[in-house]
Amino acid sequence: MASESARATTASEAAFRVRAPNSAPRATLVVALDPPSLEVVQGLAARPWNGAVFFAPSFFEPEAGADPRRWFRDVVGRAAGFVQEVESSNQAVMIATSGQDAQLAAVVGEACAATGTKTCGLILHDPATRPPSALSSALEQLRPHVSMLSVAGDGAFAEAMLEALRA
Amino acid sequence: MLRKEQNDLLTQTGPGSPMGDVFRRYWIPALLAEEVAEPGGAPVRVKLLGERLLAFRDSEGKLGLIDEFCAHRGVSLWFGRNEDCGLRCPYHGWKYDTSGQCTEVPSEPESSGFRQRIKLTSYPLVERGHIAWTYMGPPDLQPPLPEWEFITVPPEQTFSSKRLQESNWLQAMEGGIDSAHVSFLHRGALSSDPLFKGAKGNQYNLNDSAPVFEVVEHGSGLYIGARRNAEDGHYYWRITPWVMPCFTMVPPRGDHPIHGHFWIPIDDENCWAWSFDYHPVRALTEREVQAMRDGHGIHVTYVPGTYRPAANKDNDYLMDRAAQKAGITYSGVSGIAMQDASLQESMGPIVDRTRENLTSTDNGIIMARFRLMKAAKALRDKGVPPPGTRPEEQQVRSAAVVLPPDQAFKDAAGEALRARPGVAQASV
Repeated sequence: MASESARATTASEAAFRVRAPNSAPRATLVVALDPPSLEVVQGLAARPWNGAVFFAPSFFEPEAGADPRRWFRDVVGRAAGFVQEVESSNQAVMIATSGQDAQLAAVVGEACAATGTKTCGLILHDPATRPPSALSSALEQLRPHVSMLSVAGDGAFAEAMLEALRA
Repeated sequence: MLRKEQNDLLTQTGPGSPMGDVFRRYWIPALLAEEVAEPGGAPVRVKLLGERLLAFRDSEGKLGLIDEFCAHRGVSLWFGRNEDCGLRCPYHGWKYDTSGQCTEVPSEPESSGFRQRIKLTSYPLVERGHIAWTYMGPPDLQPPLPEWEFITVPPEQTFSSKRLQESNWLQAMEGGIDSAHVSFLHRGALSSDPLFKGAKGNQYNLNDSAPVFEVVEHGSGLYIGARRNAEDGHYYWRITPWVMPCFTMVPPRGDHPIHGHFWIPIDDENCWAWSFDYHPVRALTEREVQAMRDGHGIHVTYVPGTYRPAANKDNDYLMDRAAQKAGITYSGVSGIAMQDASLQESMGPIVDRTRENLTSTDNGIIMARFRLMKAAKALRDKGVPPPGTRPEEQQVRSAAVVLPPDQAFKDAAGEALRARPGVAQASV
């Protein structure tokens, strides 16, 4: 039978592929690490996702205190607390902008390391307006805490990436 | 994952399709120069981007790439007689030159002007670096001739081959920028393949099987960096350039030749996997060339008389379960090219990307798709030409380098990622 050999790669044989879902929704945590990235994340959070939750450092705001549990706030108000979301997430995406301080990558990274959550980073970098040193600095802050890093000039890539990751 | 309409956008390259229009803005490899070497020799069927064409070298040595079918009754001109500066249809004797212009219609008097009104579609066909290249886009937008380093070095420093891949171009190309699969699928090749083995960098690969990936944009594509730990806190980087729409290079190993690929759509369910090896500063040795002809490295052996790999879907890719079990090969398929092609063809002619479950490790693929979709839409909606058509954008190299830990690899390895005549590749 054709379906018992490698010849079964025709379009007609593809019709017999199992159509049942092959994955369950995954929990995605998206964290903006600086104010410009927060703008990107706020735009992303405004559209529907497959359960992704969006956080930003609350020290952007005056009411932030010294309690680490309050260092991050939910961008759209539908997530549980940051620590609970880290514990239940399958993947975490950190978004930073070159030239900004991304030191909170360490906090997110360590929280994710403690729970075994896979991390990736996206650095938004416009080489026309930011020097290479700005990118190097962001890379240095993120590299220890992510297993995959992307550098993109177009903020729209963040949405494409999250869609591709079924966030 | 991609939505169905996104998958269709990227995988369909026939006439009038947005992605097809993108491809039609570049010079692309059409066939090996050896296929049309002889003036007045046999014409060759060439299907590209869903168009059936015919390549021939006329009796005076001029190359042509024209519509395969005679304008009279639709006969394939592959049966034609290549004689006296043209290709003559054997059915009723109509004759065409390399531009597709009909030069004779024996049944009509020359004075009627009939034959001047008959012209087949034709595309320029230019020989550069063992390859005949074509440009299938609007004539007034034809870019300068290609200047990839592998076709501009002296002939004795470069070797190219092609193989039929029975899948859509995109899933083949995505294999070229998916650095994560190398540690699994090709792990046996590092120590055994004559075109890979012996490099110091191989040891970094074998010592650290969990590389960290970084993907960085450049003007006409991406650099995908795979980072492994080296000595003294430094990183060993293997850097793969991708230039739109379908050019990739494999990071080098030691002093072995550098290699890379073009992935050219034949139609939406088949593509040509072009593979090249070259050395920027020395001639390839006889042993290296023989290894390439014998199907080592990224090349294959063929079904005699064709460019179809000897290991193909009709023979289950000569699957060797004993070699798989013994770890000689990881998948049981022999040879790097067919290890890739067997799995990519198994996805089906056009993989259904709505069912994918990508992880962040796949970000090179995700970003390449993003760039391609963006380019296709910009061309379709605003007439913006896609990047990568200018010779200066083609002056890229892959690299394997050891760098300090605090640097962006694209900047730190900047010179190493540029083609520089007379300068050897950066390799470990």
